[in-house]
Amino acid sequence: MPHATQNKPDAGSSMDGANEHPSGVPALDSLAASQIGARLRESYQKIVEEAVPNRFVDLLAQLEQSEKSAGDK
Amino acid sequence: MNAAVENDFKAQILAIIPNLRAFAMSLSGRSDQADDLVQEALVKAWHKQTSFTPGTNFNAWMFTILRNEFYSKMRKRGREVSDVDGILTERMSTHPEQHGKLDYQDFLVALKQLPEDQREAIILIGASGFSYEEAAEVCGCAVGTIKSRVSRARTRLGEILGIADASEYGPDGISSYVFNAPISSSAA
Repeated sequence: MPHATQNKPDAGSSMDGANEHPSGVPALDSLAASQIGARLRESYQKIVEEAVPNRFVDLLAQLEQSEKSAGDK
Repeated sequence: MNAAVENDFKAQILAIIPNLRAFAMSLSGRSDQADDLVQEALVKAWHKQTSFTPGTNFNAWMFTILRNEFYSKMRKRGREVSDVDGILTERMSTHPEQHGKLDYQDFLVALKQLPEDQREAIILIGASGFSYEEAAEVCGCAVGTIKSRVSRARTRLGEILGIADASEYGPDGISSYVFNAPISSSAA
């Protein structure tokens, strides 16, 4: 499995403040933090990029329809 | 409500569904539960759309609804101690051609090991694209609390994934499972 999270120039861009440790927790160095951040974003992004299941499009159409027919009465 | 406002609302909901699904999946760790969760949140949002003030932060409003649904469901159902097992079962029953799915399920296993307050904080900040202020609004806590949770979550994830300060992957424990598990025979 390739470690695609490494060597991304923008890795960690939204994980700034990685070296803060407001609660006394030892901070990770910024490279480690950016690897974690990149891995997290990458996994999340895979789900975001999936096609929206039809059930949700149908659901919204249904909700809209039931509101319309309620309004007609 | 007039039709234009309603269409706008529907368009906003449609646009946020992919992000909501990813949030639900990361929170629950289960794809089967995640889409049910999204569905319930959408129905709830639709019925309370008059409580949304146009011009305010729609994404934060929507994420707050989904988060509330998630925790009220969890409370009703009781703690599911076998959640990680559930993912692993799902993982093993997944067909090899679904590579993308396998990738993020590995990460969901790691996320699942975080305390839930830390998990939601790092997802909102590190993946969903919220600011600390917005994340604090979604979670109903102080900005400083979010910052501290994110910091703890990072440290913990680093341990779980074997990403140490020396930035090397450790071969032990869950990290060897997450990074070295055979993904498919076709890779050999």
